[in-house]
Formats: sequence, structure tokens, C-alpha cells
Amino acid sequence: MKSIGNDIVDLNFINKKRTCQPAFFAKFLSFSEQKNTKMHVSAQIPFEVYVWLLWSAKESVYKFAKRLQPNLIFSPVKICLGSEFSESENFQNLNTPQEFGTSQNPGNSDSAIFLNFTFRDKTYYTLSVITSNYISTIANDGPDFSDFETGIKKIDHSDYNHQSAEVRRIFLERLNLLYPGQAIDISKSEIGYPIIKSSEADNSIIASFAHHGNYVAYAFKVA
Amino acid sequence: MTRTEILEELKKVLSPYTTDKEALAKIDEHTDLIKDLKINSANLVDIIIDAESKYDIEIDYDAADRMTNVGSCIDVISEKMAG
Repeated sequence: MKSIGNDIVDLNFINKKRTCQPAFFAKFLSFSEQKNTKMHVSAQIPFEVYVWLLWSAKESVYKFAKRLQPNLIFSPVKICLGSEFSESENFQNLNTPQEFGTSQNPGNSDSAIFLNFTFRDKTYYTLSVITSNYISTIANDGPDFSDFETGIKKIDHSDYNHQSAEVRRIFLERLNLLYPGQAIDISKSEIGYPIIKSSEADNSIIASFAHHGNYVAYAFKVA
Repeated sequence: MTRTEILEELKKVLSPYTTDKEALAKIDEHTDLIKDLKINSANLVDIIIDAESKYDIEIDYDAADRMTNVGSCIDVISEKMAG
């Protein structure tokens, strides 16, 4: 059975000072992850962004795994960062998240970071794009992200109902472009992931939604 | 502190992280932090740290993992306060 998980962190909504306090990051980073300074220095990202990058990746892995194991509890410290990471030029089949409504990759200053994690004896892979405003991540159980599509949108306020409505609206808009003329319905599973139903029975779309602050993101693939 | 007293104090801890004040006013032990109070998962660590500070306790990984609804939050806080 296929799965998908994504996450977005609005960097304008994080508390930078609190993030950098050991009392905060030690709640979800293992000792070795806390000491993995090589990674955030190599990737040229500030420590607070490194902390939220790992949060975003762990949350995405959890969402991927929970769809297949509904009773799973989020235990971020048990989702363990592998020893290697690479930036986008080091691997192929990169399909980085796209800002909704544009056909270009986010700006040149952005970096895509590919990580791997182990969780309950399985390996998971994450692909994150970091901009000055957000970290967007998708998770997979293999290193190939070429069949994923992601959309990200900045919204005008951070109210939960608005976030939720906007991510559904932009995703539906995207699906209507891909599958013109089909009746598409988005509902919610008991554990919270979106269920996509279309009038064409052979479409099997799996999707994940995320929102934080003034950003919403969807990720999907056709299974 | 009784469970009811902890629940009342817990409302103050949760308040900065939910905009649904109506749901917050009506919380009970079964209220889910994410599903019912619409708290963003990115704030769960803030809640744990604020609870540690408010009750002068330390919440370890395993206890933190359990804090998904109001009842389990009260369980953890009670256990840690009892030492």
C-alpha cells in the first residue's frame, strides 16, 4: 500500500529564541541530532532552521507511516536522522515543491535538502525545500520523488479554518486542471488524511495536506 | 491539585495556541489537542515546555508522546507533580 506525508513550517511563525534553547530542541532531537553541526553548517542554514527542518521531516515521516499504521503515536525522537544528507545537486529525480500558481522552482537562494531517517526498522526519505519564509517537506519510503507533486501557497491570515479551506481549494483547483470534467471530492479520513474520490474509478490519488501560519501545502501522487 | 484544578490551569497553558476559544472553554478529558482544539502540531513542544514551567516538572520523551488529549495531559502532569 502506498502512502505520502508532507509538512510545512512558516519560519515567520517560529520563536527563534525558544527554538535555540536546549529545553526546546531536546524534546524532539536525539543527542546525535543535536550535535550534528556538520549538517547545518554544510547546508549553510542557521541552527533554528536546522531544528525546524528536522521537525518538518520527522512530522512528514510520521504522517507517511501513520496512514499505514493508524494507531501510531508521534514520537519524534524515535524517528532517527541517518548519517548522510545531500543537497539537491547530489541526487537525481528531484521534483522539488512548487509554489502554487508558478511553474518555476523557488528562487535561487533556496536550497533543497534530502535526508533519510530510520523509524521502527524502516528507512524513510525526505525532501525539503527551504526558503526565507518556509520549510516544505515531503516524505517517501524510497529515494525517488519524481512521481510527487507539491503545491505551496501563501495565504492572508493564519486562522485554522481558512488554512484548511485554502489548502483544499488550491488542491482541487490543481486536480481540476489535471482531470478536466471529472467530479472530484475531497473528504477526511478518521485519522486526518485527505481521501480523494473522482468520477473516474481508475484514478488513485493519494494526498497529504499541511498548514502552518500563513502557508499551506499539498503533496500528492497518482498511485 | 485535583484533576479539575489541573484542567482549569491547563486551559491557560493551551490558550495561546488555539484560536478556537469556544472549544477551549468547553474542554473535557476527551478533548484532542489537534483534532478538537485545532492546535498546530508545531506548537506541541511549546505546550510541553510551558506545562513544565507552570507546574515545575520535567516531562520526558515517553510522557510527552502520551500528551495527545486533555486527559492524558492531566495524567502526565499529575504523575510528574507526585514525583
